[in-house]
Amino acid sequence: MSEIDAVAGDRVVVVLRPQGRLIGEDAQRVKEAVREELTAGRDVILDVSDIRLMDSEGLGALVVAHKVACTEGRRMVLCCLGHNIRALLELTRLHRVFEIEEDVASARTAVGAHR
Amino acid sequence: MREMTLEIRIPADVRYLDGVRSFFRAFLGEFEETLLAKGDIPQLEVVLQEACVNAVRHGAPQEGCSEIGVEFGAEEGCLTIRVRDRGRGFDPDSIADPDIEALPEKGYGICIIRRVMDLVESQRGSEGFVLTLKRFLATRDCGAKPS
Repeated sequence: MSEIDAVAGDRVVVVLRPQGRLIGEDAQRVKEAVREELTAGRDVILDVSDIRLMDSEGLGALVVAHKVACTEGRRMVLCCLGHNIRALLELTRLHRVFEIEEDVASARTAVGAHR
Repeated sequence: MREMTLEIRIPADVRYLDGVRSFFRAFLGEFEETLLAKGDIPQLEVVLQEACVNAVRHGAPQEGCSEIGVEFGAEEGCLTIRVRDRGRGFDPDSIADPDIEALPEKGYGICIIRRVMDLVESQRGSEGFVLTLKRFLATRDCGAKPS
């Protein structure tokens, strides 16, 4: 579910692309995967294009991951949002909290990553 | 407005929710560009999935062994979503919206439902729990006034 990008300086960015459903235990697994990367000192691009279903619990998992990123001084960028995930974020006003980019290329540019 | 109701019973298993969403999307297509704006549809789908996931996860004594019922209806100027399960249910009015500034992990579900729907009702009975959600499509009264 991940690929590693080289970046400028000593920062490393990982692209995570979870699949399926971001609910229940699956949401917890994604949260832990993101947390692992952030606490290891890597920035995370979370490509959610393959997420078919996400509910408020999945949203909560992303919130926790965002807070870990802030605590660790890392960046977590969401990208490739479908209509439903975008609606979830907008309805909860969390689109103002998360760093969101249109696609992986834009997210890479945003964090200054190059391959 | 074309009045219609669809009722589906599915095993209490999230794998069946993709199918429910497909039915719902087709159902909403009846009203798109007439009584619903294009941007309303993803929001209504999110509401449906919130209600259904909640029913599957908390309203089924044995996940995979119980059923939930999902009903979509359009009548009297309202779009209605009704989800039935076998759980103890909850009182939507007792749950406050999360404080977004504090970024809590939980509590977004009912907040999402309230922001999209005009009326949220719950009912507990011997047959289980029923969550009824209504969205006004037209000006005719269907039980409450929009805020």
